[in-house]
Order: sequence, then structure tokens, then C-alpha cells
Amino acid sequence: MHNQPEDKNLPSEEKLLSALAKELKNPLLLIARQAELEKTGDAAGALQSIQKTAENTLQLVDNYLLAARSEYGQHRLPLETVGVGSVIYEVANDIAPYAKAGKIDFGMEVKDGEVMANRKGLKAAIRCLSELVIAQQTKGKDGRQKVRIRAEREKEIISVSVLGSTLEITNKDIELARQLQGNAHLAGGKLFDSGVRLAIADILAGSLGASLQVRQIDGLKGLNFELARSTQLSLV
Amino acid sequence: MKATDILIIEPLEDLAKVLARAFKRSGLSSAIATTAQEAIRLADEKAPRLVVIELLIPGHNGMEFIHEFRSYPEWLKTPIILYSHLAPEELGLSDEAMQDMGIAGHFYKPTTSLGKLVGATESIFAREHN
Repeated sequence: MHNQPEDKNLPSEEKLLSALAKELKNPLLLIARQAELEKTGDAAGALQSIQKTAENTLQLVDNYLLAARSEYGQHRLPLETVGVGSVIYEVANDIAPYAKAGKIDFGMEVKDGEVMANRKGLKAAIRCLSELVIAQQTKGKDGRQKVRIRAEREKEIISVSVLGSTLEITNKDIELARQLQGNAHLAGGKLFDSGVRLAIADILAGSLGASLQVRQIDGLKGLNFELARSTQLSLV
Repeated sequence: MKATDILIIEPLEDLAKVLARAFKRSGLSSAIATTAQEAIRLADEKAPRLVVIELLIPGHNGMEFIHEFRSYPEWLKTPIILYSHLAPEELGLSDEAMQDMGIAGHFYKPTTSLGKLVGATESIFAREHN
């Protein structure tokens, strides 16, 4: 139990990707920590950027490994009672510097509630969606773009959305990313640099019993999934 | 002999050196071991006040190392910090079990900044003083 989880249940092509992903973690970690240590003087800004880029990529690799293991039953994500608000707050805290760098009006609107979910999986799914929606706002758009991470209580569910002023992705694209998975970039266009994050978020949402969909709320368009509130589950 | 403050057990030597420099900036001395055998030798030689360990040591099980380390009476109470690629859920240890093993903290590498790790060691040393 105290060794790096093996990926014996993964199909062979996923095994190689998984091994590659693990291999990438150490150099990325080293780049991030070295940059953190050296960021003083004139190079502080550049090193801050290097640190954040390395940490962001490391997080993506980690999220991929989590999604791959959950999808192939390698690593069942244990369920626990999770406060959605606290998870969103953590993601917003991690993501805010990227939104700021892209001059995006970024914030969160949370009507908190508890769900039965896996905290790490939920956080990874929201993070992937946030990175994806932020990236879509920075593609040559005029004016200040807006991104909101939002949680709403709707009867017995908590609806989690990451919304932006612009979103080119449709429900058809989600279906395409589902089919293409790791090769989503091959579809080109809208999925070119969003497909991997979309596929990871979709797998993780699926492992939490939720389904990803496009939603429009208050003039913003984004990606959404719904989780059953834990009060409801406790009655079942 | 003056005791070393921290024994860093980290297979990635370049990362271990980065950690050592970060500790040094806070006035803490450290020794680096990249294997379990080297760690036991350095623990004997340097008498560290605290151990920072990655559990994924090549050819060795990190938890077995901790049990072996604890079998020496002089290292029974030395606090241990886990700084690992293993997430808490992968480790599968309860808080009570961690406490029983003298594990003072578990930090997941990808999301733990140097500042956070150094801060945690400083807090442990500050508690020792009080």
C-alpha cells in the first residue's frame, strides 16, 4: 500500500501514458521549487511565471493520473461528505493568478451545501473546467472577459458551474471529447487545446456520478455538472 | 558534535539540494540521503532533530524504513515529516496511526510550496523549544 500505485488494470496505451505522466512529475516539481527558491531581484517576475506554469502542468499531470485510475477502476475514489464551497474556494485561490494574468474579471458565487463525493476528484474536475474556461476567454477577445465559478442549491442537488463571457464548446463537443479522450486535440478547432482538460473533467465528473453539460446562466455560458446533496443520500 | 537540524531523505538529489537551500535560508542545517542505507548511516552520524522523507525510495518501502528507524531507541522520538508524491488517501493511514508513528505532518509534493514545508519544520522546532 505504500508504493506508487501500479496501473496494472490500464489498457496498454494508457499504461505508457501513465508511466510518462509519473516520469514528468519529478522534473516539473524540480522546476517549480527551484523557481520558487530563486525568485528574487530582477528575475522575480519571470521566475514566478516559471513556477506557476510548472505547478499548473504538474497539476494537469496529476489530474490525468487520477482520471485514468478512476476510469479503469484502478483507484476507486472514496466518497466522503464534502463542502462544495470549500473546494471551490481552494480552486479559486489556485486559479486566480492565471485569471489575473489574462486580465479576466474572476470570482465565485457560492450557495454552499454538502455532497457525497471524493474531494480530490471534485477539486480536480472544477480546476480542469476553470482552466479551460479561462483559456477560452483569452483568445483574442475584446473587452474585459468574466469568469465565475458558481455553486447553487437546487432542491436536492448542488449544481456546480464554471461560466465565462465566451464559450465555444457545445454539448456535441463534450460528446466528441468523450469519444476521442486523450486524442481530443486531433479534432482541432474548439477542442484543440481544451480537449484534454474537458476529457479529464468529464471522466472525473462521471466517477462522481455526474454528467458534464453546457449551461447558460445570467448571460454567461459555461460547463456544469450536478451532484446529489448528502442529505438526500443519507435518506436513501 | 553539533546535531544537524534536518535529515532529508529524498531520492531526487537535485530536489533534495533545493530543500536543503530553503532550510538553510531559515537558519536550519541539513544532511541529504538519497537511499535508505545512506539515511541510516547519516542519522547515526548527524543525529538529526527532524526527518523529512519521501516514501517512494528506490528499492525500499518508505514505511518499512520508518519502522526500522523507530527501532533504534535514540530515534524513537525524532519527528518525521512525510513530503511525498503519495497522497494521503494513497498512504491509507489514519491520523491516529500517523501520531503513533511520530509522523508530525504529511505534505503532498505537487501542492506543497517550499514556504509551507519550511514553515511546518519551524513550527515543530518552535514547539520543541516551548
